[in-house]
Amino acid sequence: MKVRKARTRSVNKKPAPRRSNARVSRLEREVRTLKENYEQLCDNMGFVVPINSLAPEPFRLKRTIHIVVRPSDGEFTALLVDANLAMSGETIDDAVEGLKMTMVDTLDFYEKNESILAPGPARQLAVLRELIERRS
Amino acid sequence: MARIITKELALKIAKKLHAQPDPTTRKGRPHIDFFVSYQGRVVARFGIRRGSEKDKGHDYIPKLIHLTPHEAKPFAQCTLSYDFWVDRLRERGII
Repeated sequence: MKVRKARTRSVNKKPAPRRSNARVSRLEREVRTLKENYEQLCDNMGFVVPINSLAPEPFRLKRTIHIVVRPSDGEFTALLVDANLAMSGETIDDAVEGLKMTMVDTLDFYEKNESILAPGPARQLAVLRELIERRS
Repeated sequence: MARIITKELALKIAKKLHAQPDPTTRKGRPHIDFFVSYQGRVVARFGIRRGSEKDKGHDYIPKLIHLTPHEAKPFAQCTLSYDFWVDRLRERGII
């Protein structure tokens, strides 16, 4: 009886390493997939930057605005979603500064050409006027 | 996200839309501003970054000209026509 038990034990133990190798491989694959998905998510994920000033431009913000900055293939794109304005830059600072300039220049240009704006740009002008005013 | 619209394509888009440089753009800006008119009305405005690198990213442009990135690329490469863009403007209530 003792001999039989010993044999049974040894038979049961043999497949264990194979099963554990397969399990480790499966876990490795899953971790790799999760890591790839996480990196992809990080690449596409934006973050919000609060803006309090447009200095040195001759305009002032009526309230703090929030712009979205997204990484884009080694560069950054800053977006003012409400007004449908955006600008890219090599760094976050470049993108944000570029967007501030775009906001100011767009408001300036649209105000000068208000009578010939199509409905789309007219909506953009309305949004910009809610956010920005000229410094007196 | 991979770059879809490079500076080279952005310039092609500007040409295809008959975009004109904004004469009021202030000096020292890191970009040149263009505006687009249709039937005498301004329908869009966008900036193209200065610099000699042709592959600078301009992925923000499609949104500003009321196209998706996947429409803007073939539009720049001549697969989609100017009339296609006008149809898009109508559909989106821009004109």
